[in-house]
Amino acid sequence: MTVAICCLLLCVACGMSNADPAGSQPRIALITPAGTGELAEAIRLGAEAAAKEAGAELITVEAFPSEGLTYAPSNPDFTAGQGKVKQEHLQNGTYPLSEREQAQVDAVSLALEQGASALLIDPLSEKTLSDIIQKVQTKDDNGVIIPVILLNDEFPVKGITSVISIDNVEAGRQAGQAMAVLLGGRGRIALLGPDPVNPVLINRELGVEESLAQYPDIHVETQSVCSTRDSCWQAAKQLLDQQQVDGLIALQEPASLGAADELNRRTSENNGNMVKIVGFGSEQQQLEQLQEGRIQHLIVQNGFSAGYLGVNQAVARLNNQQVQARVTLETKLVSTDNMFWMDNQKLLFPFVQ
Amino acid sequence: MRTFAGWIRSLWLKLRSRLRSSRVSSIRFIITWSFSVFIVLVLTIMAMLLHDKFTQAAERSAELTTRQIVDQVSYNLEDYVRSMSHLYRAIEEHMLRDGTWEGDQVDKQLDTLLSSREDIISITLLDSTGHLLKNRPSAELKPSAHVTQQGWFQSALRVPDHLSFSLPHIQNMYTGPYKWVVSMSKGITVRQNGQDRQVILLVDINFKQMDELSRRVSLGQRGYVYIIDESAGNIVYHPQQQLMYMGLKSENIEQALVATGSYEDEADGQKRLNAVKSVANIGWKIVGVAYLDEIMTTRQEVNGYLIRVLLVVLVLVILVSLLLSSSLTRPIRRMERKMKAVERGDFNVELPIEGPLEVERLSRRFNLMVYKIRTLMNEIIHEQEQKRRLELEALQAQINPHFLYNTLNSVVRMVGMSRNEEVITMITSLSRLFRISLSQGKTIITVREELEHAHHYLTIQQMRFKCKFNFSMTAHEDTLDCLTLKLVLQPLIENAIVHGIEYHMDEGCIEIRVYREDDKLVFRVTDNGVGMTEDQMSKLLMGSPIVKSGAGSGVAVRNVHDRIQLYYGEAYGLEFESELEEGTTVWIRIPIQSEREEDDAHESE
Repeated sequence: MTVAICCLLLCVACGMSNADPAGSQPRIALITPAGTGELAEAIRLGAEAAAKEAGAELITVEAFPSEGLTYAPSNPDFTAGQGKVKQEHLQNGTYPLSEREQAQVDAVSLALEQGASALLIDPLSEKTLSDIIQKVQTKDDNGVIIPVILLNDEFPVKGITSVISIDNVEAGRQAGQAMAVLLGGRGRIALLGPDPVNPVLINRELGVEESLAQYPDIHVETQSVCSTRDSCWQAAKQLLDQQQVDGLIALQEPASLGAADELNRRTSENNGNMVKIVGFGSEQQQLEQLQEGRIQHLIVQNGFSAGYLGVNQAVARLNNQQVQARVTLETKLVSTDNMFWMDNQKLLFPFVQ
Repeated sequence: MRTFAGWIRSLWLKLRSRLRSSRVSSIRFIITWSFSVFIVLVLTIMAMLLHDKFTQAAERSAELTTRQIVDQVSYNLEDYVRSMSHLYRAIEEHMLRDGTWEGDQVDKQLDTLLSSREDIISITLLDSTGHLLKNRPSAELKPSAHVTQQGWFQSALRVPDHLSFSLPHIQNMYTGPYKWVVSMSKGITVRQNGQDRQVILLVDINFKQMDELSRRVSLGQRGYVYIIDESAGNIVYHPQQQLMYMGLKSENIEQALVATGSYEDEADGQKRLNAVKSVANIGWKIVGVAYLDEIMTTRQEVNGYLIRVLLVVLVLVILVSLLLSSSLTRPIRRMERKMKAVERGDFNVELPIEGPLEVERLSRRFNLMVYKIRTLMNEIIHEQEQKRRLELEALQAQINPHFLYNTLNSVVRMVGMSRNEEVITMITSLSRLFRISLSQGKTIITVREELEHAHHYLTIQQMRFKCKFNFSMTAHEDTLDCLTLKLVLQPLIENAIVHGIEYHMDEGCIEIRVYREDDKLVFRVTDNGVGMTEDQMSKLLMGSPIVKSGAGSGVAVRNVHDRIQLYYGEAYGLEFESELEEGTTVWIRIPIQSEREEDDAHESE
């Protein structure tokens, strides 16, 4: 009897000593955003850094291959949990919106299957986000709600833990202000690439208009809706051919690239006609255009910080700590002249290649 | 309120009394708790000592590991930088030999070199105005690169003939992806066409190699390595330089710059161990950062483990000591039960002789004691029984029908002879005799009464035997009130008459004297009868008191002796002295007891 009790106790003791509290690492899934190669990579690096710091595990789930250049992961340890959904469209590189939305929802399912306890996502649309939230909420079988952290977007959907985003209105203001300075407070400008359904672009447009309102001599002539580099180039060509504009504010990456392409063409054809371009983003090609002086200014956001803070918020929520509902990231205006300053180098070129 | 306080109070009192009673002071309790407390105390001290030792060792080794890792990184970097310097020298020799850098031979050699080293991004030869002389792989220089304003160009001009390494920066001279590079540059004077000419040779090496050397370092879960520039304190490499740039993180660079070896600091409320090592040739300093709480997990683990061990040991110790104490106290409790039985009056108990030595001994003694008590009890019972029997016998002897018959016969004869006087005396004596014999059932009477009894008896016998003998009685005055056992004289007198005088020719004479002898009261009965032989005398007191002889007289004497010894002890009793044809003398010796003492003795009974 006593011997049995002693044995039992010893077993219990052994069992206790084997139970390792460090075993339960939170697993955080990053659904890689679409299209924005460098920004996505920066976000991933930031998330990795935060995960390492917080002792969490980061898995990246690719909704679909990003356009443009792909980058080798800088830290092979963190690529183990990488998953891919729908690769059959790789060759042509463009997808209809509905398909991309579905791919993102599928990626969330994949992440949940892999045991993710938190999600970091840059959703394509409000619909996608609603679907994702619904999926996440039906998933929580233990009554534990999986935190969903939004990166770089603002959609009025309930059930989001935290939003990490730049202030797009402020970014628009910066762009407008920079353009005004470039033009010396006088001239006509056109907005390239606004989108009446994308809240991000609407806010940027709002910011631009707000800041330009201070300059009575600056007139916003036209708005050209376009979403790809090619269509934006066409739009820019049309604008420059038909009207006399002094500046272009490209509200999204493809728009600024398209505008710069047109400018390039005109320079090589010696058509004179120098227009100023202020764009958003920090894609490699945008940076080349910036160095060459085709684009005068870029409004740059720090993707690394977004990923880092996103994971931090997720970990805080998982640890039942205070979570900020909204984290606003700063944006920075980079010009041709200062792009190679050391600080800006670190912002614009976050990866060692 | 009051009732509650009262309730609490009563509860406390109950608890205290319970604590005071059996439990707390029981051997079982004492053994259990003293064992447990002692062992746990010892274990705790041991655990604390071990814990200190363990954690110190763990911390030392963690610090050592951190330092070693940093040393290793530094060594690797140094090695890399050295190999790059060699490469640079090789390129310089191939390119600038004889002052001619044009020619296929040089191109071929450089291309070979480039293809063998994938970490060399570009080789560029410029003149002192920043004009491109030659580059491999050949590409157009971007006008927007502003070569003359770049750091490596200026430092090559400033310190000629000295190979300088730049901080990592973005290479922006050529089209293609922007890459992080470290520029090796040197201002060299070459002789070309008989003229000295200042050229600048730039070799850009990919920073990836160094980045990986540093990034792959693992110092615990969260530890990392960063590199600073020793001269200006710029951060050369940091795994989180994005965060530093965004102001989300900062490093204590001032301290790292001046420190040698290792130091501790605190960031975001977490203590960290920093190990510092300079990298020769390139002027960088490597700082390894390890989080102390990760090192300290050893401490927590050790803590938890020790606590668990302590708990288990405590439980085990309590169990073992409970078992031990109960097995030790079991015989004691058994003994207690047996003693209780004895207390209740059951003397037929016996403890098994087993258990620990002390208990075994105790059991043996107990058994012996109980045995003795039992024997004594039996003796007492036996004695009491004997006393009653003897008394009854004595009484029965008094109411001897022969005696009564003879006496009454004598009375009838005397009545017939109209000797009324004598009849009255005889009847009176007889009645007195019986009254004293009975004397309200008392066993002890005064000497006076005993003498009176003897006197009446003698009177009756004298009359029966027609004055065949005479008698005398003398007693000291102070003996008369002493107490004596009832009816001790009569059997002796009877004996003297029946055996001594009845068959004697001469007139018999019986003398009774009572006197003190030291602390004893002595009755002496002397007759001048036929006497006894030694044999008869010894038989008188030896014969079994239980066997009744036909005559019964012999037993009566024996009965007296036994009664005296039963009442007063072995030291008292009868003594005979006899000589044939001379007579016999009997001494009765009993202790002197006054009437009052006897009363006390009765009361105390």
